[in-house]
This record gives sequence, C-alpha cells and structure tokens, in this order.
Amino acid sequence: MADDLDAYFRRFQAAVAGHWAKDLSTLISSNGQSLIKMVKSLHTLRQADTDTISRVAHNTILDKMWQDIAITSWKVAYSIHVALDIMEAYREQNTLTQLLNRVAERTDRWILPVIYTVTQELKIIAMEADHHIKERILRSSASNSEKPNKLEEAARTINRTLTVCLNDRNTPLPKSRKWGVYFIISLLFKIYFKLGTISLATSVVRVLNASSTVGDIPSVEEYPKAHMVTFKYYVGILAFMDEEYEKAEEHLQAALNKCHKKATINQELILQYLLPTNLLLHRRYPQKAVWHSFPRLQTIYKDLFTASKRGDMRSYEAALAARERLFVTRRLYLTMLKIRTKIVRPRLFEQVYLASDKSTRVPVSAFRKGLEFVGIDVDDDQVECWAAVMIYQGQMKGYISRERKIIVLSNNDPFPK
Amino acid sequence: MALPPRKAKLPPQGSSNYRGAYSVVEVSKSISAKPNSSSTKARQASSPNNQTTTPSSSKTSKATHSSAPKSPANGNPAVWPDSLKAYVGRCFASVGPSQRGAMEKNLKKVITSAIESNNLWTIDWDTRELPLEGIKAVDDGEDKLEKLKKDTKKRTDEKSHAGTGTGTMRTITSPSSVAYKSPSITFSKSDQQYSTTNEQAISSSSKATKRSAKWDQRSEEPASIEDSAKRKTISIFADTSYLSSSAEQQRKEKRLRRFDSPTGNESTPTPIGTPDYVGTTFVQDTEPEKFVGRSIKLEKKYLRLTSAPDPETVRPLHILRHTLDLLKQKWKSERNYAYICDQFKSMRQDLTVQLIQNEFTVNVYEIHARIALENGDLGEYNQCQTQLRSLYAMNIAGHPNEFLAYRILYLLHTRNRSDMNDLLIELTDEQKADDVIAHALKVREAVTDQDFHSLMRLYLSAPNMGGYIIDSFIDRERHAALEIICKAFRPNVPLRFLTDEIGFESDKACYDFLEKYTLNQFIDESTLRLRTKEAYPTAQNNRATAFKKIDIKGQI
Repeated sequence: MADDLDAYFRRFQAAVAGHWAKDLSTLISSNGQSLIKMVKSLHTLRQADTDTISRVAHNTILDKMWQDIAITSWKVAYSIHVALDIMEAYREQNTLTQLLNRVAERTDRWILPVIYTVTQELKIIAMEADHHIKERILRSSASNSEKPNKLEEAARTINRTLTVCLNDRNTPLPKSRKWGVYFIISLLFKIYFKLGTISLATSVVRVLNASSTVGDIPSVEEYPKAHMVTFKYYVGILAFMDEEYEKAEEHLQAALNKCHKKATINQELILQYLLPTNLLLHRRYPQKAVWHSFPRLQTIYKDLFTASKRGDMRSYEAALAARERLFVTRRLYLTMLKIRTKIVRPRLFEQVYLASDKSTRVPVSAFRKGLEFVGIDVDDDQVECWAAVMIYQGQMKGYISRERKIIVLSNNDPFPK
Repeated sequence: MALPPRKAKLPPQGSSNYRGAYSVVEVSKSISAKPNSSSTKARQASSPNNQTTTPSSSKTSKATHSSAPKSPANGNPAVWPDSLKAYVGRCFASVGPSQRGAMEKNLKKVITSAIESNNLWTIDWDTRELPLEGIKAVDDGEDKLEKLKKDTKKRTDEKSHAGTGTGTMRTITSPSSVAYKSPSITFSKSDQQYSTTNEQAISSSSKATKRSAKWDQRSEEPASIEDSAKRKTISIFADTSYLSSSAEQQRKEKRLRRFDSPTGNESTPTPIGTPDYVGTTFVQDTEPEKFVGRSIKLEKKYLRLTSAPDPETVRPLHILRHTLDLLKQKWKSERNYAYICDQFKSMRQDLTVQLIQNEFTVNVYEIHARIALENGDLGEYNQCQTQLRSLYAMNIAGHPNEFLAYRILYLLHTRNRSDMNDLLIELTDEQKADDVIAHALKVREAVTDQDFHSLMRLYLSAPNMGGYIIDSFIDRERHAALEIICKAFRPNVPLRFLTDEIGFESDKACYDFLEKYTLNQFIDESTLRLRTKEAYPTAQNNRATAFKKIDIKGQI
C-alpha cells in the first residue's frame, strides 16, 4: 500500500513538473483507475492512513498547493468508491476545484485539460449530491436543513474558474489560459440550463462580450470544434428563447455544420431548435432523410409539420396539446404557438382560396366557414382581424373591404412562399 | 427577494449570531474572573468621574459634577461583590419582561445609594429584599439622591458605567435594556449634551445592534455590544488621561479586533492586570430573537431606514392590524393615494423589520398592490408583487392566482420574454385552469399574435385589477392595431369599427384618441370613416414611437 502510494504521488509530481496535463488528469480524476485501485485497498480511512497519505504526499510533491490537490483528489475518490458518501465527495471535489483555481492562476495553458476534468466531475458529483438530498427529503418528508443547491454552489466555483481563464493577462496568447474560456462557458451553460436559471446564462454571455470587446479573447472559430459547437448551440437557444430567430438560425446552423458526424445526439439537439426556426422563418420543411436519421425528432415534430403544411389547424392543435408539457419544458412552446399563427393559419386561408377556385374575391364568411370546418368557431370580425395580421405580415397579399365583407386577393401569388 | 431585504435592513443581525454563542460562557467567566481584574478595573472604573478635566465631563451639567465626585469616595467600587451580582440576577429573574425597565430603575437606585453610602460591600445582598415595589420599593434612597438621579442617570448610563457601581451593574443587567426597554430612560437623547462625536458613536452603534427588543424575552445575559460600544466611546473621549498607557492601547486594539472574527473573543482572554473590564469579552446577545416594536401610533410617515430600526417608532403586529383597518377606511373615504401609499410603505417597513411573515403580511401587500394598480403606480405594485411571490412560496394563504395573473400581464407590459418563459414552465395544470390566470394567458397570446380583436375583448372583460395593468400597455397595442388596420383594410373603415377594434367604450373616446395622435385628419367628417391608405404612414409612425419607448419598469 505504501509503495503504491509512493508511486502514485511520484507520478503526480512528475506530471506536475513536466506539465503532462493528460497524465495529471487521469491521476486526479476520481474515475482514474490507479486512484480507484488504491482507495479500494482501504476499507476504512483511519487517522493513521490519512497521516501516511499526507506524509507521502509531502515527501514526494514539492509544491504545497499541489500536495493539497493530490490529497483532496484522493479524498474524493475515497468518498465515492469506499465510503460511498456522495455529500463528502461533493465537498472535497468543490475544494479540489477551488484549489485548482488558485494553482491555475500562476500557470498557463498546459493546465486546461486538468481543469476540464475537475470541473466536469464537479458538475456530475454535484448533481448526484443534489439527487441524494432530494431523495433524503422525500424519504424523511421533513424539510431538512440542507437544500439541494449543490449544483448551484458548484456553478459559483466554476464561474470563478471562468474568471481565472478570462483574466490571464501575463502569458502571450498561444500559451494563455484564455483557451479554456469556451469550454468553461459551455459547462456553465449546461448547468444553468439544468437549473433553469437562464438569466445567469445570459449574463455569462455578457461577461464574455465585455471581455471580447477589449479584444483579447480569440473568436470562437479559433477554438476546438467541440467547444465551438457547444457554445454556438447554447447561444442559439438563448436567441431562440428571445424570439430572435435570425440570430438563432445563424448560431444553430453553424453548430450543426461543425458538429461531429457521429455525434448524432448533439445533432438531434441542435435540430430540435433549428427545425422550427427554419419553418417559422422560411417555411422550410425537413427532408425525409432527417426524419429517418432522427426518429425522436420525427415523433416530436412530424405530425405538427405535416399539419402545418396542409393548413390543418385541427390536427396541429391536437398534436400541440399532446406535446405541450414537452414543449414548455424545452422552451419550444411559444415558438410552436407562433408557427400556428404565422404558418398554419395562412395555409388554412390558402386552402379556402384554392377551394373557391382561386377566386380573387373571397367573402369573409367563406374563410369563417373554413375555420369552422376545422373546429374553430369565431365571428367575422375575428376572421377579418386574422386576415389583417396576415396581410400586414406579408403572408397574404390583398386587402379587406369592410363594407362589402370580402377579401380581395392579389392576382399574382396571393399566398407567397 | 424576501430574505435579502431582511438582512439589508438589519445588518448586524447576521453577525450577531456567532457572537451570541459565546455570551453565556462569558457571563460566567466575567463573574468568576472578578478578583483578578478588580484592581485594574477599579482604575479604569473610577477615573471617568475623577476626571473632571476630561473633555466630556467638562461639558456635563453642574448636577452631574456634584454627583460625580461622590462615587469615587467609595474607594474602588467598580468591582461588585458576587452576592450583589447574584442579587441583580435574582431581581431580573423575578420580573416579567414588561417589568424589566422598572426593575432596572429600581435596582439602579438601590445600588447607587449603596455606593453613595459606601455600603456596597457591607450590605448582605443575599438576604436583601428585592425592590419589587417599583419606585416605592427603594428603601435606601435618599431624597437628595432621588433628585440627583435624574441628572446623573444620563452620565452614569452613558459615560461612567465602567466607573460607578451603576455602570458595573449595567454590565450585568444589560445596559441596552435601559436604552430600549424603558421609555423613560433614553440616553440617545440625553447624551446629546456630551459631545457630538461621542453621541454619534453611541447612538449609531447602539442602534446598529439588534438586541433591543430581545430584552423582552431574555433574562440574565448581559448585552455587551452596547457596553463595548460605549466603552469604545469612553476610550475615545477620555484618552488623554486614564487610557493612555500602551497597555491600554493594546487593549483597545484587541478589543477592536475582537469584532473581526468569530473566534475573536476566544483568542483574547482577559489578561490579568489589564483593565479589561468584565463586560468586554461578551460581545453579543444570544440568539437573534424577534424584534418587536413598541409604538402605539396608528399612522406613521414612511422614512427610509438608514440604520437599525428603533422599537419606539415601530408598531407591533396588533397595532398594525388597527392601522390596516384605519387605512382601509381612509382610502374609502378620502382616496388620497399619496397618503395611502406612504402609510402602506411604512407598514411594510414595520412588518419587514419585525420579520412578520403571515397572512396579515400577505393581506397588507395584496391591498397595497391593488391600490397601487388602481392608481397606475406599477413601480410600487411591482415591489409588492416581488414580496408576495416569496410569501406565497412559503405557503402563506392569500390570493396567489390573482397575483400570478397580474404578473403575467406585468411581464407583457415590460415585454420580458425570458421571465415569461420561466413563468410558463412553472405553471401547473391547476393554475392554467384558473379563470383569472387563463384570462391572462389569453391576453399574452393575443399580444404576441397581434390579435387585436381578441385583445380588446379581453381588455374590456379583465377580471380584478387586471385591466389597470393592461391600461399601461394598451395604447401601445392600439397603435399596433391601427397600423395593421390601415395596412389591410381598403378603402376605409367606419369609426364605429375602430372603436370596437381598438377597445374604446365610445366613439367619442376613440375619436379623441385618434385626434391625440393626429389620425383624425384622415376621417371624413360626413361619413365618419377613416381613409386607411392615407392614414397608414401616420399610423406607422405612431406605432414605431410607441414601441420605441424604453420601459422603466412602470415607475411613475
């Protein structure tokens, strides 16, 4: 045991001294094989053991802070794999991240892979810890003093990591910690979306923009594709939720273009927002191949898209109602409602126009009956109002004659694509 | 939002907690530590009264002067017999919280006279009767003393608490109880004659603490923050004479540092031989108990708090209930919004500083929110709304659905899409089924769809105070509707139609609106029809202007 320990810390020291980030990540990770093997050889962490660990760490690792980091990562692994104490594991992992933040301040780009490993594991462990707390609250049905806010807390620690990356003023760009910015921001996005604190995600973007305008953060295109895709995906969704669909389309499309061929889940996530955006902006429907490759998207969207193409308001409403919960939680609902008025309703009016043999003078009552046919019972004034909005937004060309109760449609393409 | 304001308004509350944890321990320590520190204490203690040359005492009144020399005549009276301390403890234990002020007064008389007569160490405190009869019970009191007491009280309370027996007593019996407990003894006013700076220090430091009303519930523990604050004051104004030794300086520094960290008082054991006065180490009261006001005035002008609240001006819950009744009545009869808003704000403040969060609180906020809405004061409404949200989250009964509906409408007013998204995600099916919320959701849909026809019908049928919130953005939507109408209808539309479609109750009101926005020039006076094509550019401009305006969260 002592020999293993010695060897472990020697490798740790070598990795620190040599800036071998990859090795160091494996050593530090609570999922690293060597660490797991070693902590598992202990059944209880007695005082004597901790003393030994500290002593060996102090003897082999030169730097005080790295000693603490090594010992803390050891404690995390022990809590997870032996003591099975997720709360303790979380506390130690949080400490570990904080320690690493401090060490990172005096190092450069080489440390980034280690940071990625530790922050990512912090997120996972924090989620586990929250899950654990929630279960405990459920079981005891009493409002325990502890709240499931570990992920929130972890986000604060990781936010600090972001600052450490953003504020690297001394090292020249090629070696700068700034190359960690987009990874960390993406990780924060993931957490904030999970927590439902979208405003925090928006404020991270603001911080980034503020730093970028100072001119020292390279553009996201220069970063690894993985960072860029995740970042663009989230910025796209943020724009989508703000109903800035053009911006959403731009970012989502960029994310999709650079997304790894085999990362189908990621492609699916991107398309989940990109498909309705395309429909709303350009009335563009996906090809069959898309449904084929992404059966889940087919389940969600196919009925709705088909109904919207036909102007089948009734089917659209029914499909929408069936998926309301899903759309609301994924923040798609408002957009799907928008599609209903901007895409589906004009199609329905178009159907009426086609059914009246493309007459350019269609009585308001004809449209009213068309609506009635799909189960929408409204008066003529409401029909006129909807028609007016369509004309105003350019989905229908023509004008309404209030006096004669007819809608006069343009001879030339009254329902432009 | 509910919690932060509490903290904000009672800044010392949080910091007091950890200190409080030590105080019980420190009480016993201070008592047992007495013999060691007695001589030094005496030095410090007797000096304020000796030092007629110190800036402070030179400012004091003649009466104070005459009494001051008397105390030192006792020799070294600053240290009390243990039996006296026990006696004081018994006295306070024997009375209810409401009586503590009176007891304090009595005790002070008893002890002052004991000191005056040099009997502090000779009286058998263990067998002595408790001064339960209030003022009458003071048996040792001499007439002269009675007279002097009034004058000296200020001094003894404020300044020489460390010197005279009175001062020391107050270490044990809680000086703050004097300050806050009995309205008759208020040194925050009387000490004005001291010096401005000291007075500042005293009043601010004493106000800045929370102990105040705690005295209603507590018994033995000394309140020492005020002590130490006052002691600090002493060292400030008397530093020329008796506090100038380097040991004194160190002590002062130590004392200052003690407030820095929770471990401060542990790391500063009372050193033998330094004049570390018994009280110094216990820094704070125990648990942060409820602050309860004592004001019985129904009405109160709102004043933004810049320091900890004074219980004399804070109304307790039962008074506030009467206040609410009065305000409701006044609002009905007078309809003076400026007055009513101010009164409600002061009520909310009193509730906040006393941490009252119950159905009454909800009621107050709800009523204020409604009145604010009625008067188009969206800023005030929004403050109430924020508080109500957290109160409802605590499951306090009220009208959560009504106010959720208002919030939806308010978010439409501020055009806050991301908050609206968050709100929609949290909506439960039961909430959606609620008529009032369903109405608000329909308004939301109509606004985003630019469905002016539906919107205007919803506007005119809005339940509760919803219409008042819609008022705040309806003109914006009217301009949008007019632009659409002018674009889509040809060649003209009747005024009657406009009245319906942009939500006016009469053609006259509609015409006035069009006139205000210079659209009336396109109306044929004979037929009362609007020539849409000609009106379109103006309508476009009106809309652009209406939507350009930056929202300032509805403040008026």
